[in-house]
Amino acid sequence: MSPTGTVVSEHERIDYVAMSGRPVLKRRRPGQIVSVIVIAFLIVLAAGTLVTNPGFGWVTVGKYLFDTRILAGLLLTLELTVIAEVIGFAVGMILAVMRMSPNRLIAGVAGVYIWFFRGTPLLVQLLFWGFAAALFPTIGIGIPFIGPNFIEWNTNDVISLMGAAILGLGLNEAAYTAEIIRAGLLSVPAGQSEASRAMGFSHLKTLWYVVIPQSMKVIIPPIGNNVISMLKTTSLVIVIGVGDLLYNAQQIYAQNLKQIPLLIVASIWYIVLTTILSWFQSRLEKRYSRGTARTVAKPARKEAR
Amino acid sequence: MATVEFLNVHKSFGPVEVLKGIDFRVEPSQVVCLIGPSGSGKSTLLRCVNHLEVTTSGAILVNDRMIGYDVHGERLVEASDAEIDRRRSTIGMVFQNFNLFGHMTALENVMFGPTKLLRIPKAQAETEARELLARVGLADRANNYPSQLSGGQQQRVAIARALAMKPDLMLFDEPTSALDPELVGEVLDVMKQLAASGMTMIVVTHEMGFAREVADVVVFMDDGVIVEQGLPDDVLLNPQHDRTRSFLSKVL
Repeated sequence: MSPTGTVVSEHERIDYVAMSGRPVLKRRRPGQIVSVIVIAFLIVLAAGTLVTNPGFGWVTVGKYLFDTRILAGLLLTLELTVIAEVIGFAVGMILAVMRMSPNRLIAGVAGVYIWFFRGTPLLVQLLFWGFAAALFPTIGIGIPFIGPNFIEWNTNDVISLMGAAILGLGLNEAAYTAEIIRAGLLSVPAGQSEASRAMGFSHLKTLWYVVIPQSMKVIIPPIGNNVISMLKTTSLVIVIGVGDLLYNAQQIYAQNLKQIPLLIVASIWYIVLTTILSWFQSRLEKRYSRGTARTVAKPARKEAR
Repeated sequence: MATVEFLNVHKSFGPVEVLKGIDFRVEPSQVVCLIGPSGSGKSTLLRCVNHLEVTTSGAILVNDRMIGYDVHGERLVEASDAEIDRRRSTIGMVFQNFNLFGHMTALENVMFGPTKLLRIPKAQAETEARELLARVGLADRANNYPSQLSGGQQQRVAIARALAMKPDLMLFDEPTSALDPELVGEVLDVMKQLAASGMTMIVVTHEMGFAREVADVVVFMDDGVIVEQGLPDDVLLNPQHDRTRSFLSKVL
């Protein structure tokens, strides 16, 4: 451009602009080719074993995949997961709010609950609930220690095996969920509740309308993780004889001795369910990301036109 | 419109005394600017007015009544939480960091108090909210989330949100301190408009131009006491105390 600049004659100059319009030559990557070959080989090896090893019993798998007993077990597993998780979330929310209370006693009670339920194995807790009748043969409403009971039930009637499973899973889940929710509540800046309190909203209304909705985007990923974990943890209920997916699969292979195929059947269903749950989780995450910088405003788009 | 009276207000955080006996009075429709170096106790004093901070001793009377206490004979009794919330709802507050609710649009932020607290029907609340947004010049931003608004716009929404509760007193805690210099003007314009409409306002600020133009009284605080107070021109142009003079020489 400048007449007094360094002299570069036109034909010596490299025309980068013109070259950038043409396709760029790709560099060869030998490492990539080797890795593709190795991985392809391993896949073929794995697939070969799956096909040629008769132990997998794919015909048996196909036969039992939609067996009514398996489907019944599947339904029960789903029920257990949903109910236990709902109890876990509800109780966990209450525990989290209690734990953050300025009242030391209330915070302490929640602390002890969490300490206890996280501190003992779930398997033991499930057995405890299953054998609750041994500790308290009857449950009733009456005057403690001395008086007569106005109403009295047989514990085994009130807490069925299914009930024991739900209580065991739900109350244990609550302890873990409480900590997740507490982390979520703490993640909302203090200014948010301050603004709400200054407007005249009570502590609980502030939590409900302002803090909890904004904590959801922090809470949901680990809760989703817990739900998926719960789905598989429900298989522990076989120790108190509840007929879930794994239990029914075991019942079947106890008769026909085809352990591997039936365990594969159970695994297939577990993996199908976790896949569906993961999809739900990502939907929920989108829903609760409202107002974060990644969402685009509709009117803003209009203005741009 | 409200009166506010500060009677020998003391406030300590642990061993640190941040307010050491504050006395002054705000008349209805007055605009009072609190100025002073950081750490002088201005913001704390403001937050004591709506009981976000609890005074250690002394009293703050809003419309001749304490926010956090009732009088029973010769003693003060803590007011119930519900009663404190009710009294607070008549005092609007605007924060340095806006504190708009991040999961609500501008419109939802402004409608939040009226619908959820005053139980005004949604349609009516929305009409009023849109009017308020128009008043602060943001009618076209109603459906934007706070993260999609500039600082100045957020602060104007925050003012609209406070006004939606129909307060008779507005507290501003350094409303322009977190803003880019070129956005300060739009917020101050809204505040001037509000002052002209007769709102009683207590404003903690470093905007000396605003204080001179709009304030009825300027109060200079330092180290937890009021060093000087009076008409803006007297305090800002002809300060009587060395401390005021040295502060003003740094900020003007």
